[in-house]
Amino acid sequence: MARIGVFVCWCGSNIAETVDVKRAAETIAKIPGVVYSVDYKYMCSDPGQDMVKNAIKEHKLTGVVVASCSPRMHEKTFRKAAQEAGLNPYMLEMANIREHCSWVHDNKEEGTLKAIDLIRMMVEKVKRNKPLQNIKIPVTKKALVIGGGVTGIQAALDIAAGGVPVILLEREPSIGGHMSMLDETFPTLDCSQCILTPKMVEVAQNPLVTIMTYSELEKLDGFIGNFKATIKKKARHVVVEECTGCGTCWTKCPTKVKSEFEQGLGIRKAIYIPFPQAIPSRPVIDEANCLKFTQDRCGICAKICPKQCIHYDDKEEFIEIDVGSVVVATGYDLMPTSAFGEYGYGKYPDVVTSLQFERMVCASGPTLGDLQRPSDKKKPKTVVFIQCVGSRDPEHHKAYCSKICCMYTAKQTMLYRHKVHDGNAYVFYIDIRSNGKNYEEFLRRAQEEDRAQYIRGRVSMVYQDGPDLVVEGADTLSNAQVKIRADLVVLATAMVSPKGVKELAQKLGIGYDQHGFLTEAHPKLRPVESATAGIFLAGCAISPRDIPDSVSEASGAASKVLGLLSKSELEKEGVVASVRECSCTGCQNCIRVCPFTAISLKDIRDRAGNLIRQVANVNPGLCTGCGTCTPTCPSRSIDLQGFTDEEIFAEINAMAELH
Amino acid sequence: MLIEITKDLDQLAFTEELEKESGTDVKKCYQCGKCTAGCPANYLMDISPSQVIRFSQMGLKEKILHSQTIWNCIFCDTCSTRCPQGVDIKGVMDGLRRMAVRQGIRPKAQVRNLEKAFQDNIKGFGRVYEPGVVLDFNIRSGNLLHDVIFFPWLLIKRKISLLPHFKRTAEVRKVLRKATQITKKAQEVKE
Amino acid sequence: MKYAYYPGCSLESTSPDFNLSTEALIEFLSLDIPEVQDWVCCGASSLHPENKLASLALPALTIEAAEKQQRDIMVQCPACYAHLRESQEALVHESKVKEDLKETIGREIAGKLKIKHFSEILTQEIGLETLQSKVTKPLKDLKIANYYGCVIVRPQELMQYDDPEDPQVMDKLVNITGAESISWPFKTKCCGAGSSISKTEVTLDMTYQILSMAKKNGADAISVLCPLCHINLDFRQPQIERRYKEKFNLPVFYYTQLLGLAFGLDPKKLALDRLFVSPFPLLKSKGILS
Repeated sequence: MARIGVFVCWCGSNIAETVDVKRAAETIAKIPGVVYSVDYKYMCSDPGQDMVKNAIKEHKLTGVVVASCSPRMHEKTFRKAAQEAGLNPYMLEMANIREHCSWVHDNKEEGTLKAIDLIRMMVEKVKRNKPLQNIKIPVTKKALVIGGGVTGIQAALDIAAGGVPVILLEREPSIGGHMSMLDETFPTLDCSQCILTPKMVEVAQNPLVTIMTYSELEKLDGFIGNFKATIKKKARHVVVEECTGCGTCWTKCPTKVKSEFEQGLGIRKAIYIPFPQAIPSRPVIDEANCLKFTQDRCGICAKICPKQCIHYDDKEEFIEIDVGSVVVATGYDLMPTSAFGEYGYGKYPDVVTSLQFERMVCASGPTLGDLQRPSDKKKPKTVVFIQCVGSRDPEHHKAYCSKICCMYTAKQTMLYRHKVHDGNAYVFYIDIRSNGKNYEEFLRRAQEEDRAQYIRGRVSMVYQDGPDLVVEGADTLSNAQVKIRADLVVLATAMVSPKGVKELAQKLGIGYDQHGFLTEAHPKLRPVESATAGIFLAGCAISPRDIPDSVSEASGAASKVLGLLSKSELEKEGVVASVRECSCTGCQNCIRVCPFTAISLKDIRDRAGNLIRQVANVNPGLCTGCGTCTPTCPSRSIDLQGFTDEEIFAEINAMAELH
Repeated sequence: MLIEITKDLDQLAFTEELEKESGTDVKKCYQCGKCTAGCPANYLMDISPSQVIRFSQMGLKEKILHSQTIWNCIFCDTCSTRCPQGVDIKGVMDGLRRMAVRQGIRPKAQVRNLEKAFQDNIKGFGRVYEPGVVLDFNIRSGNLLHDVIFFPWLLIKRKISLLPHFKRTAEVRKVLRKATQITKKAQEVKE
Repeated sequence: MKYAYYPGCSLESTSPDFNLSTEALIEFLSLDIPEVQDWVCCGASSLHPENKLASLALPALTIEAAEKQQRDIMVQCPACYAHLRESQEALVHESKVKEDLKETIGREIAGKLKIKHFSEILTQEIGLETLQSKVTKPLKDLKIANYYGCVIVRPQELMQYDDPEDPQVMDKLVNITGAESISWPFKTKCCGAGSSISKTEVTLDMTYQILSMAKKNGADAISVLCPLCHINLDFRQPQIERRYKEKFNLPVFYYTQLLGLAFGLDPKKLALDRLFVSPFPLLKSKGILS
């Protein structure tokens, strides 16, 4: 015999203003099976929860309905209370009379009647509820970090510090990311490589970290705590363990290619390491440009390699690894100059991006730190920096602000002025966003000490006039047009999601927005988690941000990983599908539609071991309780525990009866 | 300059009137100055294009309608094409001209004289009779000899006809008259 | 794709060279593009400052005329192009304006025909390969600065012509003649045509910048597709030379004249003699004409 207890919440005035909660409680009390029905101001409070616990014990309740807010808010809270009172938590349901009732109506009479209907429906459901148990699943103590920039490196270090083995996956030949391309970083003007390479070395030497470079994620199967990652190791054509990094091969290689690391301003060979401090310091062969692969000639590198460790017939490999958790730290890219028509569509060699400028001033750059105009190698005496190129421009490019450009442009004016003491640096800005620690002071220093000249306005056009670049901008503060004849123009272009991230997100089953930035579970309260359990996010993969924020998030994501993997088992809700084998015909409808491949065929054998028939079988670890399978079964043999056909129809009938 | 916002003032009234007239939302402007930066006629203007939009946002109706800027705009559309927020500054200039004309404000610039000369010409002929336009303009602007020196050259190169071409003049006149009538009625209804 | 040609008032009066060279090409390519019967002035920029409705109504009359002939419209003048398109938008899309237009004109006009610039028809419908095959007198060694002006490329949503920063339609057409279309930054910088009469000094200044930049980038001549730009660059070139004390000597061709020359048409038919800055010395020096 059902003994249902009903608790109708006022939620202050949130519900009580539009629902006569006392009347609701009184009406529900009359339903057969309801032995206890009360109203209370704040059910989620401690006294409220105590009410539920006491009522369960005193009135020997077999089921509970809490009529209040959305189950997304407090279902966990109340189910825990029920469990503490000795009632199976799945015998407690919530009737949503706030988001589904009081918050969307303003007529109290109608609101009350609707609330009563909703509660009645839930009472009928709970009468048919069955107790369920949570499912325990094992956990693989290993993590995968996708992205080998500073964010991925930090995450790997922190995870390893917690004793968990970690794989650091990077698709370029070396780890390091964009930070390894920078000259100095704001606001300290630290040499970027000098502060990064110690971390790179640390992560390379850490026994718990396995670095896989020139590799990409091919597939990710499984679920939280139990992922199976398939990794594609691209063919390096160099045996890493034997190679000493002597450099004979790339010295002799005849093919010159524009270097990606130097942002197109320098040269690398077809067999190369991207930069001297690369980790691993072992070359790869770029098949698209190597003569051996494109025209089947040359082959010099293999001949002269002292260790004979260059093999042209290497093929890409696929490796399967079990991991318990994933961190996505795929970083960013910058828009190229060729995207902007008013600045020349990339035709003018002396119009460069901020990252190209960084390589131009860097001591390890293509001109070894001697700042030269790309066109005639002369020293630029007048440099114009343009901020917000492609950012804050919903009409043509990106609507968002790229966050770091105000700071790095100030830094770049200082780098320039430190090299060219009689040079002039002009910055065209709209607003200055310098809201980190010591950032505003840094901006003032650029203007006051290093004499960078800040002009408030966008630039309408940049064009070549003889050897000069003419910059046509505005200063809204003086209400003037400003025309500058410059030697070099540096565009702070918008930060965008790198190529291939959308496809990677789809492989991982995580969300992303129209820009390709990955979506957090909650932008305020869950900033390093994706909506997919077990997969965490950090750094510019989420949206533009600077190094301190990215590194903080890397540590944040690592702590989430360690928290998850610190348990030996994970507990999962018991809301899974289950098959009544006696009526199942093995038609496989449910298997075909299951989005999580959680259902498979099971053999039913007789005592001799002969196969009698096959039936569907649900893996409770993989099943997410989505319910897609239940309507497909022609014999009604598969049902979703916690939302069975009987329970749902009881709700529907309860509603239909009254009208 | 003091902008005084009193409690009974509807600050956005003029802004919204202008938005309807021009068909664009000036509230989107964040004063980046790109329009001013690329405007080829800025050197002729007393207030810059971005200032026109700013004053529209602040409801400074008289300042804008009495400016020379709206008459010196050459309608090249560089501003609207490059505006990152998609504000149609050219449309705003166009709308402001109409509002100024309706308020009876006479600009110092000669462009109104040209418009009137052009309009009278097509009302008279249906197709433009260039010598007529120039003569009419010269009379209105009080400079009878403007560009007259080129007349013989144009004749020699047969780039100007001595006589006008008439085409559907009665109909053109009727259509223009009716358009004026309907627009005037719509204005009266608004007021 | 049957088109009717709408020359507009400029081509009929001050730009007969554009008109004649266009007709010459139509004849040479055996195109069936007769003139729109009973077309009227499009109103240009004179009407909309006073009365937006009037500026939309007048071009509608020409649209109606083409509809009567059951043909789409082909234009050469960018201003006519812009006003026809604006009028068409109002006839086809906007509701209140559509009603007002009906009342103004006294009848409803469907306005669903195509309106295209001749250069678009040449590149998109006839095709560069076909045109290239007809070139008998390649304009070798000739460096041309293609100048589009501001009207045909802006506003982009209305004109849908080509990229407003670096258009290529005319460049492609000029390239098939054998001439070299140079890269230069002022392809769509306004020449100030709108103030040519009412504020001439402004026009002279703006046009001077264009001539100067074309010359700096190595142009032998300029190619245009707008009659008003042509007047400023060609007719006013001597005036500009005097004012700024600089010699340009840059002949200004209509793109139709360049195509016609490459097709071997008679220079008289292409009205080359009506250009103020004589092109003959240049053409003779390059061996294009004897």
